[in-house]
Amino acid sequence: MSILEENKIDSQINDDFLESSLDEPISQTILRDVKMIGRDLWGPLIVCLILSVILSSKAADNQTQLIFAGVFVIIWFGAGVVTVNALLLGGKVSFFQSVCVLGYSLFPLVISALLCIFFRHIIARTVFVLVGFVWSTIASLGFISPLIPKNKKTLALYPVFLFYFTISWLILVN
Amino acid sequence: MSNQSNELSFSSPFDQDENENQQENEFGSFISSGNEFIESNSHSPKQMKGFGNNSQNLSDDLNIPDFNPELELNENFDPLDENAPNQKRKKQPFWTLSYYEQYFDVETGDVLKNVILSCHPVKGVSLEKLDLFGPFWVTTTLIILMGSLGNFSSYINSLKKQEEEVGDWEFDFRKITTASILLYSYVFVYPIAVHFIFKFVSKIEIKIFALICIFGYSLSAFLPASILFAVPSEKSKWLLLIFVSCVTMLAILSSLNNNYNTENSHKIQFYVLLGGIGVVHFIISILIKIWFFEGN
Repeated sequence: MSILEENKIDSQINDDFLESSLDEPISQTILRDVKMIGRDLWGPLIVCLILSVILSSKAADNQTQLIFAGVFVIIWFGAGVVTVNALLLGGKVSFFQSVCVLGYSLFPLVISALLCIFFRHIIARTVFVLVGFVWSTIASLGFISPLIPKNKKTLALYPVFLFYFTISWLILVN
Repeated sequence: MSNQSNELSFSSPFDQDENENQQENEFGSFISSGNEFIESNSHSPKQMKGFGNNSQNLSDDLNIPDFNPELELNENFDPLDENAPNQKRKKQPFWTLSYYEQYFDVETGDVLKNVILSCHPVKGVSLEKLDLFGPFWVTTTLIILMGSLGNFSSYINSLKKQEEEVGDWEFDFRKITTASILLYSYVFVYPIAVHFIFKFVSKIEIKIFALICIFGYSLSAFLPASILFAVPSEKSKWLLLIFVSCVTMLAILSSLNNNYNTENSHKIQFYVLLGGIGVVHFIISILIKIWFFEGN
């Protein structure tokens, strides 16, 4: 291709791109940015709400509110504590990113919880919860494990295991 | 002309020259800044650059310096001088998070060693390397275990009674909340009181974090005990409780005695306070048994 033709193609690509980002209204740009950040926290929030509702719906009448609030606290506080622990041990991970990953990895357990509503038999529930637990744990281990110095890996990963164990057990005995 | 090319090649941020050439091309700078965005997620300090603009000022602002140029110029620099401006490890105030990093400087082996030592009636916990990781996670694990196994033991009891259907057994979430309040205050709030009592009564200064270590690790013997509490016999529960309580109490008192029994003038007060600590520990153990592992 001649140089003129190359320039023409480049400037066409330029124009297309410039048009797309500069011509849209500022509100759209801001909204897109907010969604990019905020979207990351909506997911775990929805997961948390679903779990809290499921677990508190089957509770004793006088404990419904306690369990709802309790599950909420356990999930957010637990994710925060696990993240802070990894940070204090020298892990290189951003706080929000880690909380998001831990929240998203709860999704398999949400599926288990939903299944447990319909199948009340103890063995089926154990299987569902076990599968959900293993799946969730492996999902988040894959994210956190490479970011921790080698000699402290077990110390950083044990709380993750504990976190999902607590939630799995709450689903199981519900 | 070497500046422009048809291929959509991703330039690496390390290629300074290529990036600067592509500044003239808006599209090229978008690609390189997008690439930098992707690369910056790998958290390497060298790659933390500004977006879209490779001007020296912006990248200098965001760059984490690998070395401090002042180090070479300042002839009076003393690495041991804590007041020097270039000292890297500054003592942070205790309300910042990085202050607590010094208490997480442990490895798996250290934590396991302390867990085992907490059951040793003569040696007690080693206080050379104070850490917060062990006490906090042992306490949290115990709370979760007590919450779950406490409910499990009440479930077994309801099975034994067989008065109504088993479905009447309800999961008691309050066990978790009570366990957290009891154990977290015993490990994190009670040491503050102990520190001041020792200070005023026997004039001995015991670091708060050392006390947190001692009390936190002492709870680790209750972890296997919680599992053994599943045995439905009331007698075995009390025997188990007394055994575990005495072993851990001795370990607590030993570690305090070994490390802080130096002053000759206030020895009587010291021993009285040790006795008080033993009594409190025994009371906590009894509460654990009564509130969470009720018998038939």
